[in-house]
Amino acid sequence: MNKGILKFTLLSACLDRIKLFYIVLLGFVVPIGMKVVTYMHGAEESQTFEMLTGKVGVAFILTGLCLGLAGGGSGSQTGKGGEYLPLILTRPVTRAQYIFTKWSTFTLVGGVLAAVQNLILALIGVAFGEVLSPYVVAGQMLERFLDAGIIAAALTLALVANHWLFQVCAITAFYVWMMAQTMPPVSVAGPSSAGVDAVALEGTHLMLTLSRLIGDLILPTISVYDATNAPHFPLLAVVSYVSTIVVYLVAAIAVINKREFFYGTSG
Amino acid sequence: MQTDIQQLGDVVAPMEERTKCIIVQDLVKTYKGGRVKALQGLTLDIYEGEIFGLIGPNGAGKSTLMGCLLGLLSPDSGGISIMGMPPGVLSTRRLTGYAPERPDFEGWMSARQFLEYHHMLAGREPCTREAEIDSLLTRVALPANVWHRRISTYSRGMLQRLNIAQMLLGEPRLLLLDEPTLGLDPVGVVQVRKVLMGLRETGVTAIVNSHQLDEVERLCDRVAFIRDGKICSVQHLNENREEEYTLKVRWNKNCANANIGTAVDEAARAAGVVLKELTNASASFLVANDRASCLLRELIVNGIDVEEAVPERTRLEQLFEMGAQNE
Amino acid sequence: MARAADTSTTYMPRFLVAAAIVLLVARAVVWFNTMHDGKQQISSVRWTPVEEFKRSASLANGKLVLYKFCANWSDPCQRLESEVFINHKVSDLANADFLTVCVADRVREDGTNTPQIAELQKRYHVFAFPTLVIADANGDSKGVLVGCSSSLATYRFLARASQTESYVSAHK
Repeated sequence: MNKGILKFTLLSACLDRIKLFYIVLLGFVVPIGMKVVTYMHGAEESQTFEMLTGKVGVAFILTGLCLGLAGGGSGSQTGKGGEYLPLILTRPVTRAQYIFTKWSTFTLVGGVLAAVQNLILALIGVAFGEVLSPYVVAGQMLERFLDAGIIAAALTLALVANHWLFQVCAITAFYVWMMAQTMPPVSVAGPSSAGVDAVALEGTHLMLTLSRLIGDLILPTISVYDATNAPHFPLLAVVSYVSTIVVYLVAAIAVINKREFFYGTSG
Repeated sequence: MQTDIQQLGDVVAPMEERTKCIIVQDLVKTYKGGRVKALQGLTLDIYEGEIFGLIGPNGAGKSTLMGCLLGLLSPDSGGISIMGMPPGVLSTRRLTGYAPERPDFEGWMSARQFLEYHHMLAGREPCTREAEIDSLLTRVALPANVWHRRISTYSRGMLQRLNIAQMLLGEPRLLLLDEPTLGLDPVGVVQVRKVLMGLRETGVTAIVNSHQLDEVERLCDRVAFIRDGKICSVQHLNENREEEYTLKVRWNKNCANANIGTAVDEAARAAGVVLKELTNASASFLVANDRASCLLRELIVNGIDVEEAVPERTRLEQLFEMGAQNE
Repeated sequence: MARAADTSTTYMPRFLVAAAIVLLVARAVVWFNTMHDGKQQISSVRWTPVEEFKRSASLANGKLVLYKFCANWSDPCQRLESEVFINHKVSDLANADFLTVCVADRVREDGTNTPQIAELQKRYHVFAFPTLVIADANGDSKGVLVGCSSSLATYRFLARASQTESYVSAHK
């Protein structure tokens, strides 16, 4: 890990006013507002709330931040935040160090913000009589760090792999996954339909199934609550999670090692 | 103009005694699956402590050569040795400083923060940070009142000074400069020249890629003319300071009188130069490098109010023309 | 020509590559084993089929009723059992504080539902499976959770209804 890259990536996250505003709004104001309103009216928490306080919320935070924190944007020599890679990479820093430090920083920033958000929401719940044990709250906060770790790894790879085909696949997979997060996994009731209704139902079913497959493949999750309360240790979830992160990091290092960073190249 | 062109393979006596800092051998680099041939078997030796210029038309391969020396581009074939090491290892990177032509600075940072970042990237000791940064910012004559201002507010000249400062972090032994005087005012240009000349005295090697031929001529010990990915010629500039060239001098028309011809002639004879052409307001002289200042002094002593004195063409411009004619 | 004395800037950590290969193989093996054994995971919630359920039991016990509207052909319903109710916190709470009733839709299999099922679906506006409905002794809805949510979200859904009911009962 390189301390310089860590320090100045963190500073970049803190000192950009537009990004801070985005994070405060989407990461804190909206979910906290939703929680308060839900409790005041005795309503059930919406799917949107579940999204913003879970993995999707972490993804929103990190995609907003990463656009300014990373180096080597797609098709460009510069990072989207102005980090000039041809200059950075002429310093005595290995590219693997650069990737690893960036991933760690994204994980730290995304994890801390989302964990703090979850903590605030848990405290608000206490004020309204919902008592969750500290154990459960700590588990949720840990989960946000785990979510940040895998989303950060995926984003790091996406930011350095600028081949158009990869970018198309990555963006498509991400949006398929995101779209289906807007609804809980359900099967629509009713008899077998025909015509347009059948196509619509099958389309929804396909999207949900595809989303689940893509999610399990590219963004596997570890539920800390399930891991600590299930009859068996969720080995598949843990192995999937760790293996995916490692594969993303290896791929990101391989890609950045291969890329040529100089004006006049397409790298 | 007579040129003293070093033929490839010839060894000039003084250089033999010096250590080779950079050895490039048969370097080939192509893009787009071989369709664009940027370097075609380029071979070059650069010695320690010299300032080496790279000139050539656009697309000649100068930037590609720089990229290969920096380890940012991988050559298709051939070899590069920098102080006995390949370009893509950490030891080489520790000894190299690079000033890119078009750096993209992090606008939210101040100059101090930017240098602090690169100080940390260079792996320097934290205890040396403050002193080194202050020293560098002073050296490149960046005003102290802007050191804490955001880079996004800097002028082009300030950015270039900052660029030079970051290049000097870590006391590099090899400097690669891409258009180092671009955007600088005359004071800044002189500053850069002084910095490089000073570093040369300590044995630092510098490679300058520039289209500012007059600046290259003033700065460099040797210059390579590159075209179509190959070295066409390497010229020793220091050894040819006595070469003759045409100096065009213009003076205030108000001091011209019937005796102007006599005065100019006397000045030329006293300075040991040849008068080629004379009008009421200007004259052309054939001078050697070291006689120009003498000529100007004699003209002034003879009552001529000199306003301007410029060489008609630099030697490197003539080299360029020769290169173009050979196509 | 030049000695490669130290670390290359494009160094790939070998341990990371080895870890990636080992973990991918492990993932494939564990996935295969899980697929083979997965169907045997059954939750410990004691679901009473709706045909056997009597609302009078709720009145007698003072417990809320937890209806699980599901369908045998629905993947999310199977996941609810194998991933959510397998969590012992959730299943313990469901068993302790609720009368758990399973309302299985039969339209695709039999062409129609029984009148009891149809009436329940209509009463609680069930349009998707799985749907969890918490009802009191009078059959009034106290909470609805549509879809297969996470274990924690399901636990909080049950706990909120259970805590409210305990509070109301204690303060009558």
